[in-house]
Amino acid sequence: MIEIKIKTNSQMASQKALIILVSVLMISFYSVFSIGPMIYAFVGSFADWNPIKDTFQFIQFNNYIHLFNNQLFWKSLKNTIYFVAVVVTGRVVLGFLIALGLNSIRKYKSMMRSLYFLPVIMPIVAVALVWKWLYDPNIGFFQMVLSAFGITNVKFLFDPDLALPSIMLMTIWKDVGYAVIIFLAGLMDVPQSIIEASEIDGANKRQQLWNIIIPTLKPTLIFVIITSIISYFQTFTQIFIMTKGGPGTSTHVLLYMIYREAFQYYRFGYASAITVCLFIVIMIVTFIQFKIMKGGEV
Amino acid sequence: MKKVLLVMGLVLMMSVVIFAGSVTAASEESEEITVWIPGDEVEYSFFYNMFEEYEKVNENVDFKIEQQPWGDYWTKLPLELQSGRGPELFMAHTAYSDVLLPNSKELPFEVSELEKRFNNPGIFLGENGRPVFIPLVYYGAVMYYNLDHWQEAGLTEEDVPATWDQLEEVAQKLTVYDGDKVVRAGFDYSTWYTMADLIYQQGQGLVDKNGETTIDSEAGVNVLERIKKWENDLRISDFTLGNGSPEDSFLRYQSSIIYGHAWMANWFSSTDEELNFKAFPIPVWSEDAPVVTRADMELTFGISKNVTDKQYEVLVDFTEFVLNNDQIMLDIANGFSGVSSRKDLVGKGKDSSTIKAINSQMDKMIPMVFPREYETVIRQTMEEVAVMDLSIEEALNNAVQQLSLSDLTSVNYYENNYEHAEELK
Amino acid sequence: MTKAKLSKGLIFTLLLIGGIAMSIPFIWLLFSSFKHNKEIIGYPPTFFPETFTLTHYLNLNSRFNIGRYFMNSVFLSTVKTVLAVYTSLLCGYVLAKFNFFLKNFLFKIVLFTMMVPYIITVIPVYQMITDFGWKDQYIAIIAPTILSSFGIFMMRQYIKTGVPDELLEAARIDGAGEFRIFHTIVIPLCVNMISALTIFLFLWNWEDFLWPYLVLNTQDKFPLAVALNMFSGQNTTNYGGLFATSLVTILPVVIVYFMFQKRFVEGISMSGIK
Repeated sequence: MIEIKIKTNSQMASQKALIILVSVLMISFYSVFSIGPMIYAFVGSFADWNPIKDTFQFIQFNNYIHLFNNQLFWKSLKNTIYFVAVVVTGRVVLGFLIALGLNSIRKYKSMMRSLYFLPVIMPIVAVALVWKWLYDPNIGFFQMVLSAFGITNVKFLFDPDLALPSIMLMTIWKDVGYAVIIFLAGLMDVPQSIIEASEIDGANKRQQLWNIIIPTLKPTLIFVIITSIISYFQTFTQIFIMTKGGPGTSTHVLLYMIYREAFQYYRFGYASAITVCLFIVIMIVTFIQFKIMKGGEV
Repeated sequence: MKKVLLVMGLVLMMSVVIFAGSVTAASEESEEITVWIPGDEVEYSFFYNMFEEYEKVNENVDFKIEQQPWGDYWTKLPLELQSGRGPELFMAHTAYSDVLLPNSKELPFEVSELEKRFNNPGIFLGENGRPVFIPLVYYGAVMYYNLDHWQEAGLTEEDVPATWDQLEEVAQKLTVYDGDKVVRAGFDYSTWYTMADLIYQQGQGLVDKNGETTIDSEAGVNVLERIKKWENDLRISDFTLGNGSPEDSFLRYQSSIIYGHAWMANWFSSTDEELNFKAFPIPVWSEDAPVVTRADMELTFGISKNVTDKQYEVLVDFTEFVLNNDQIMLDIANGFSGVSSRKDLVGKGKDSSTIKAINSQMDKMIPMVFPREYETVIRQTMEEVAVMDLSIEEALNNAVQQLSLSDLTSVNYYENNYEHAEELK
Repeated sequence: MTKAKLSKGLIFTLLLIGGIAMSIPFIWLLFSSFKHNKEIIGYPPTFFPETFTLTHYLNLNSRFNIGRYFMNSVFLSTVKTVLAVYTSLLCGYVLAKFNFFLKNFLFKIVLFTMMVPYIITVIPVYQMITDFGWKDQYIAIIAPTILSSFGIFMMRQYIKTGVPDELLEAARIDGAGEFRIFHTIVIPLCVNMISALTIFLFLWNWEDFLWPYLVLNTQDKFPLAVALNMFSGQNTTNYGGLFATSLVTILPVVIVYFMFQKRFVEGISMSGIK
């Protein structure tokens, strides 16, 4: 920051105006659409808040007590964490491997990159609708492939053990390209001279990977992992379109529960209590993340 | 307050954006009425026709019809009405009557007067004891069977089952396998009302005096055991066919008998002309079952509490016009394959196996209004047992727990109003 | 050297197999949209159409006003993206280059809200939108995204080093006002970042589903994603129609992608660099 020495009055005024404009814009926006609503949600989570009955009465911790006694909440939390763990790992590991591969080839690079990237730009609603059909236990594509190997009667979205993994697979398919592109960009930053120097020193590929490439990519890795965690904790659309939480409650995730409680049963207070819990869980996970990664600058 | 100022500032900033949005101008001459309906001209031709007929007679009235997809419609409508917006006139539904009633205007008719001409017109009353919605047609669940499949299996009309035991025998002959996989189910039951009805058939109400669910009663256990038998022992059913919806599996020729609903009959024929099907009444648990199935009804359109006096006047006149018009009333009854609520029109509907089936079970149908949540939980319980292989006990525990926040007293109210109520537990 | 060549070939083959696997759902969708409904639901399933039909495409417009929804999506995504990119530049610039007493506080808010799940605000904002009478209006969708924490953060990081102080200083000595400096010097220096953020936000806005689904009621105002969901709910048995419609909603972005491939890739990759 350089202190500005020569200033006319009008320049001073315009500078002040700019700062005030931005301050007002940011403060008003964040208080109306972000921080304000967060406080509102927090307060509302202690109330019997029902827009249909037009009620907003404080009932202390009742929403939370009910929530913690509700098996469905724990199930949804478990499903959500399971989903986040698998999809984030899949996206990062696969994305990294594909990026490494793409980085090493010369011919047809952009065509190959497109193949992996295209699902990223397809609208999730359309993708989920199509995959629902791919997974159809009778006439779907996956059934067709499996039956060629003599495996029949796999129910995918209707199998309690396969339903969530099926949605995970689709999500990784859709999102892996994003990680690929970011990792590819990160790989460009790996200094070629150090790689060459290490080759002269007799380092093999694996040593190069662990000692040069991964440390250089660390900030990118942290970025992808943290943004993925936050967004996958809020997975909704694919669940809403493909299973509506079923079969039974085997794909019930927290966001679907929030949607159902708030916008189908009109229990805004109860649903707010779930959002507060989700918020706390994400904060804890992000905090642990930072601790583990120690000092990644974000 | 500071917050108010901030909001105002924001509103000012975005006024530009507001102008970009579309503004609809109402013409001053005619009375414009916004109508919400969860379907298009193909599905609800008789309703669209009803508005046209009225517009023909009353040139100063202009209905502006807005469609919403079924699921979203019922989520959004109550919230819109409650917030003082939403349509002036809307298609109502029994399952959502508890949230719609407080947001609708009463009709200025006396129930005692209506009772002379209509069956059960006083089922949805407002605060002043006047009807808010009046039933137009009574109908409910029926069974459908695919005649071609039936013939292939060497079955005739004689084999139409009257009890569940008989149905199981027939379904076994109809089921087609590919290895260990059910490719075509003899019987598809995968709708929530199978379980609700089968509990009623055993003489068990679905809610006790205190408004608590009785889904975990002995009758509930019996039903789930029977479902397990269909899925695992007899292997006549596969919940997942048609993505867990009987009507879809039926239209995909993946099931031969389904637990259906009267409204489906016309939809089946319009969707697939080649589908060769007929209906029969719901089989019974035992000969002396006090209930066969629930009675559903379609209602007069609801009038929003937010209408002006002038609009209210028009809409009351419109409602009267519909109730008094023989052709419109019959078209609606036929459209849903049900029985008209107008006493003089009962039996004048078109000749179809579906309407016949409804007629034959009419006196054993319990007029019932189910909160949506109960439906969702019943379906979830069935899935847990049929697909997830959860123990019956565990599935029922989950159900009871999930319903602990729900207000089910209205179910109890309707159960007590049933004419054979004394036979229910 | 043959060993290296062999491993290169192996990597290439693996990538190619993976890439083909990635595109199978799309190809399956394409083929299925040319099948008759009877064939789609027939058992056993087929991959290539046995009889080829264009019916689903010819009937597309009769029940699904694709042009309308497409324009709605274009309008919404454009307005939201342009507003957010501009405010991101403005806020990012001020946070990067000026010292004032709220600066750290504001920047902390930006960082904090980036970490916070948006869902926590959905219920209160929904209630507010209802109270303001904004339901079923585009303002309800546009207003909550006028600022983007992510965008402000990206722009601030970029402008801090990407826009030299000397240049700003020189302009000030020439007597230029701050707003002119912002528009004539800062913005042109950020062109790459602007196109990156634009693409990123546009993709986000294009597939946004839950919020428009909650606040819009009138069909004519639906963006593509919401309309597609509605179509699938109304046409549960028109399988081919659903496939054709899905394909048509996917196609525009695919075409745009191939037109601006390089920019897309740059955009996405810049979103991850700090």
